[in-house]
Amino acid sequence: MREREAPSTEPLIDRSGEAPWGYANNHPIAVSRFARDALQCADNLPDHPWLINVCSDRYLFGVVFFAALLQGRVNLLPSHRSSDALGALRRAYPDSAIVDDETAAVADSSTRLADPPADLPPIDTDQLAAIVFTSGSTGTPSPHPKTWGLLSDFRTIHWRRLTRALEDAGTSAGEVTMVSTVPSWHLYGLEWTLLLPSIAPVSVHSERAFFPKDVVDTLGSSDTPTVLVTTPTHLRALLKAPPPARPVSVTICATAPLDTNLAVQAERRLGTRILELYGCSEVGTLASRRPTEGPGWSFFDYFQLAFSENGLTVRAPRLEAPVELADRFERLEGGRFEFLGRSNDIVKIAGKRESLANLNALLLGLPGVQDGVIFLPQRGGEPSERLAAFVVAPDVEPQDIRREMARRLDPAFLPRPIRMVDAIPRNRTGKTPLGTLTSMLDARAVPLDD
Amino acid sequence: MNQTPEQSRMAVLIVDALNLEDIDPADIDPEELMFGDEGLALDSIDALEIAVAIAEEFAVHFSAKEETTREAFATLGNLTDFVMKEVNART
Repeated sequence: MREREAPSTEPLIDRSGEAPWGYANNHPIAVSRFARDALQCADNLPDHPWLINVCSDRYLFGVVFFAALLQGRVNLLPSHRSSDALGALRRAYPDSAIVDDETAAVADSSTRLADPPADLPPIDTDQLAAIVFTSGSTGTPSPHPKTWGLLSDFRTIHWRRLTRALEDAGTSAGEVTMVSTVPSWHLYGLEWTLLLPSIAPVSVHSERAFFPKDVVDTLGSSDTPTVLVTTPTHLRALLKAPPPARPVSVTICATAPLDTNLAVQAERRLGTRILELYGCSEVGTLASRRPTEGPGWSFFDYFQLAFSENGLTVRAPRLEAPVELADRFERLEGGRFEFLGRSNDIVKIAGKRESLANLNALLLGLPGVQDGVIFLPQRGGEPSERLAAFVVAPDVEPQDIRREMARRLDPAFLPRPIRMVDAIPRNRTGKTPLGTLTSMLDARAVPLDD
Repeated sequence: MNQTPEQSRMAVLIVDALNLEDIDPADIDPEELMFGDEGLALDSIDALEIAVAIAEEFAVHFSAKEETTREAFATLGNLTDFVMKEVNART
């Protein structure tokens, strides 16, 4: 029988020290170097239990993330990094310190150990590794704690899935190079670009490949098979850039539903096979599918799924409590699931979820606003990537509405466009069907000075 | 906050690319910050969309690795200067 009381640990890094952890300016950085940097940084971290890790450099973010784990500190990962968002987090966690690239570099170099060991001690699986925050339009960020055990399990599951995808792409086992348009402080980026290299032969380019040219150049510079970690928005932008010099073995795409047409074009353009992922901040990556091979999602075996009147509930060995998904799914044959859409009130923009009810309450509470509605236009069955708003506020300038909303919201949720109207047509229940709103929006897409 | 003709053209490109129909391009202050909590309050997806539109219109490509890129995206004035410099360097 399994001894359940024994303390359980998982290694921070389980790879050969000579292997490349990643690349900075195309120069390899060895796993042993990363381990030493993490140990050194751990000795020099600010003396606070909560560390708001806002490093922009992927390598330094990882150094601080692992250094915090070594010291029993917790990485706080805000959903965005405006001064307001960081201020809200500081108020919620008074005993916290902000660690950015500059402090990380100082912490890393201020005490150079003469001969630092490169072996990192294993970490308790119960230890709280990070809290991922989602923005709340009420002003208080919602916390989603992640234990080291859960994150450690994720890297194993993800590597298993990626191995299968690489095999399907005809890539034999061996080193792969990863290029990511997704920052590592987004949970999706954390799971796939920081945790994977700690156990698998995956080396990540430190620079966040952001503009199409960066992505294409970095992908083309590698002489090992490449994996691109990205989003539908970036794939769309890449269609308008020259193709990379070498085909991309596997492209991982998440944060928003990927349109099948876009998937087909991107596969052709990049010479790649796309593996689309589904996940949420409450858990992490949960399921995958090949978007060009039908609608069915396969949830990872790690999760136990249960349908209830509230939708799909997910349990997992190292998930503290069951999680009810905010999205609706329907069971298909063969153990797959079809994604039916977000629960009516929830929108997901730039990988972040928000309640439309909250956004609309915020809009209606602005000075001078008599009526208004924020919605996600739906075209050809696909939700668009940005919110739109109709506002009735005869005495207010549209730019004032924008400014007031920008002060209170993550810019991702700012409607584009905000259109001033005389009235909003409402049915007997006081609602306006989404189809009507979208048609109103499309009916007059001209500047307001007409 | 008068815009130069080049800045006006860039302002129209930005408003079109981002679907900011509530903004009159002529109202964008060339010196005002475009990203973050201020001004147009744009985010990184907007930066990507602006970059794609500029690549199509001017065949100028940005790189996040260049120090100058962050500065270029700060204001309408900077962005226009950056793109025009690249365009003029070609001719």
